Amino acid sequence: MSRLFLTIAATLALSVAPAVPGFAHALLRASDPATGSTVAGAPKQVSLSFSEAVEPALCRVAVTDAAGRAMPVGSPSGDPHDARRLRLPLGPLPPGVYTVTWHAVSVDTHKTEGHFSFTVAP
Amino acid sequence: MLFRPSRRVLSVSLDIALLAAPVLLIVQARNIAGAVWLAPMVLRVTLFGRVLAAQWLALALARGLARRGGGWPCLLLCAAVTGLQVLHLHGYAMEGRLGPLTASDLLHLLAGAAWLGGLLPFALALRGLPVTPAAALTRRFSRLAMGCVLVLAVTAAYQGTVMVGSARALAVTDYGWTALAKLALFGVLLGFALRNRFRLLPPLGSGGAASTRALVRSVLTEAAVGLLLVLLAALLAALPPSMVMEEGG
Repeated sequence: MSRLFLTIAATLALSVAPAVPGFAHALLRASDPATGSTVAGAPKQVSLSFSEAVEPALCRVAVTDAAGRAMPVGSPSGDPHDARRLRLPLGPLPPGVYTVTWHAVSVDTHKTEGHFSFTVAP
Repeated sequence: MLFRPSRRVLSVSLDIALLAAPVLLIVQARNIAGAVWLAPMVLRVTLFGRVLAAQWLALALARGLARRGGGWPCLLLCAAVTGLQVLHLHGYAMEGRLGPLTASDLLHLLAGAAWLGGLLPFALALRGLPVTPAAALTRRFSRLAMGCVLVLAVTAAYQGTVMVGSARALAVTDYGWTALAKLALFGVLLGFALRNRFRLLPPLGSGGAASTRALVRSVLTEAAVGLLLVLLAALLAALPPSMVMEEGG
């Protein structure tokens, strides 16, 4: 009896499917501030919610103003309550239009990127 | 003590997996972190890296046990390596925690590994056996295979419903087409399994060595088709699920 089951171990290790890089998976589901929204007062952070859990250490998020100048931001961090969410602390943002450009890596090792804009009302 | 040809298959499989893991780490470091030299960082700070490290350690322990003839601890370590693979897959990524989709992935991987992973050692064991024990072994393997097929069918139906999303997505996305191709190969494998059990097994008693050879050939072909199915499963793991694509527009 044991021989049959022990022989199964033979190719268990080989059954591990290799990860193939190159396809996008983690899509942006929602953000705060939301895409195209106008907020009263400068937000303290940008929150991004993806369709898949992400690796915060490998994600990059940048915020630029209408002239394309990079705004001061902190490092993206994960949300301990939801592995699909990423948070980015923001420096002070004067009124204006801002573009958030993000590059995400999901935990199943796939890369995706995108951008959206929001406005800080005067 | 493990049957000698099976022990060889086990050792070679573990050696390949032990070598493949660092290669995978390097390839993924270049892919997700942008440079090969960032591999230690990927290993340290990402879920992918930590899980891969745990899998490698379990494989190394299993390899050590395989040198002494295998045994249940070796089998459990190999099953653990297979089970940890769910943390690299869509289900866990989509749920962001251990939810029903991850549990379904786990059962699917273990059942697939037990069935398809057992085919080659099963064929090698058959080749060295007299007719009567060969028939007994075939009956036993068939029982195991049927149990695995049941688990595979139920979990695949659940995953298909969640991941593919709709009949339209099945027809118009790469993910849907790959899932259909995998389903077709699953049907072929099921055909082989039924043929082995109900057509090739009964004449074993009267047909002698020729019947055993026919059964071995059939099981080896089934193993080759099974390998193709594993490759398709790897492709599915790399493609974006249809429902995610539809959601993203």
